[in-house]
Amino acid sequence: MSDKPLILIPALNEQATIQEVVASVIAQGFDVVVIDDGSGDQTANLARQAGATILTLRINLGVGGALRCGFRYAVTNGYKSVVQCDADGQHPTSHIQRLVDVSNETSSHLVIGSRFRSQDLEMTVMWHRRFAMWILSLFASRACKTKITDSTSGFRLISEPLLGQFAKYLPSHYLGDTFEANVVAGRAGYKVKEIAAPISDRKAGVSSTGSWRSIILIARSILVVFFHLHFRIADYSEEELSLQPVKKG
Amino acid sequence: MSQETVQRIELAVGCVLFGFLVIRFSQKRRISFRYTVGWLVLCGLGIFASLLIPVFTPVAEFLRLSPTVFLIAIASIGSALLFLQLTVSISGTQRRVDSLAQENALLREKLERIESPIKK
Repeated sequence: MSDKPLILIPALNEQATIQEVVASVIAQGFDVVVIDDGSGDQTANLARQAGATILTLRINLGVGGALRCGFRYAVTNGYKSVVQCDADGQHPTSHIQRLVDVSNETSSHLVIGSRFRSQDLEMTVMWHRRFAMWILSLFASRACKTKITDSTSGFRLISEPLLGQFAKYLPSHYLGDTFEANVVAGRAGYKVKEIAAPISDRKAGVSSTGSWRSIILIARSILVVFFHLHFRIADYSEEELSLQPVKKG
Repeated sequence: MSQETVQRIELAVGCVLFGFLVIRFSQKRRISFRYTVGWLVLCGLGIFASLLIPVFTPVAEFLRLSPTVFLIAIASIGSALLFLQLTVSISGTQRRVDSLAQENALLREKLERIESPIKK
């Protein structure tokens, strides 16, 4: 059992940046697992050389599928929390400790690093995408009962018992692992907190989802959340300090 | 030949051709046995129904449809149900594939961890 969080880095063809990202996390004393999501390049080998543990998915499952694999690894190996971090070097790994501190101070199960709360936003976000993200944030804020400005952030800390639930039920479709997961956690009574975390433009490679396609998928996700069609996890009750069984349907 | 007879023949020929297509796909192992049987049963029902159009005529007239349109409507509903069943089946298979790929990755990592001290 480890009190330190495990750092999970889902990666798809990120050979240009993965070594640098893994090295900077290891330098801070954290264990790192890179989930190679069917890469066709040297991502896995380079990450292994940098000192990461590698989980190799033979087929591409998407970020959600890769993350769930990492969550399962964390639960099996006794980690109480994980920090999800992108492989493209967008997230400053120096902020991982800040996520951990906030989680400890507030007993939050999910701490989201928001790029929109940060004063020094170095990333370019198109207006239509920003508008869609604003709508997602409204839904997420309502579900989590706290202001969420970045519900699609890929820089998050997730701790038990939420970690165990996500290890069992996290879906693999686009936004299922971020926006929908945040809403599901909030609706099931888990404590969610958001803090500022600066983010920069990708150092190399391209995003896995195109701009307009992502707008369509965002619309789909809003419908899923509006009609409560998302995945279910066990409810968390602070009074009873226990998990309630997963409701069907 | 009356128009009704022509429609019956067309429907029967259509079902027979579709049945041959299903058998061809099955021979090439593109469709599994259980789905081959399902589609062939549907074709068989189509041929049977085309021969028994006069039996459906009172029901079709009651619904203010021609017998052929009535049969096509039933076939469409049957196909929609089959598509729904296939979607459920594909979704389940997708979940199982995801889980299997994850299990494979976790086991592979475990194996590498066990083997690494032996290699040293």
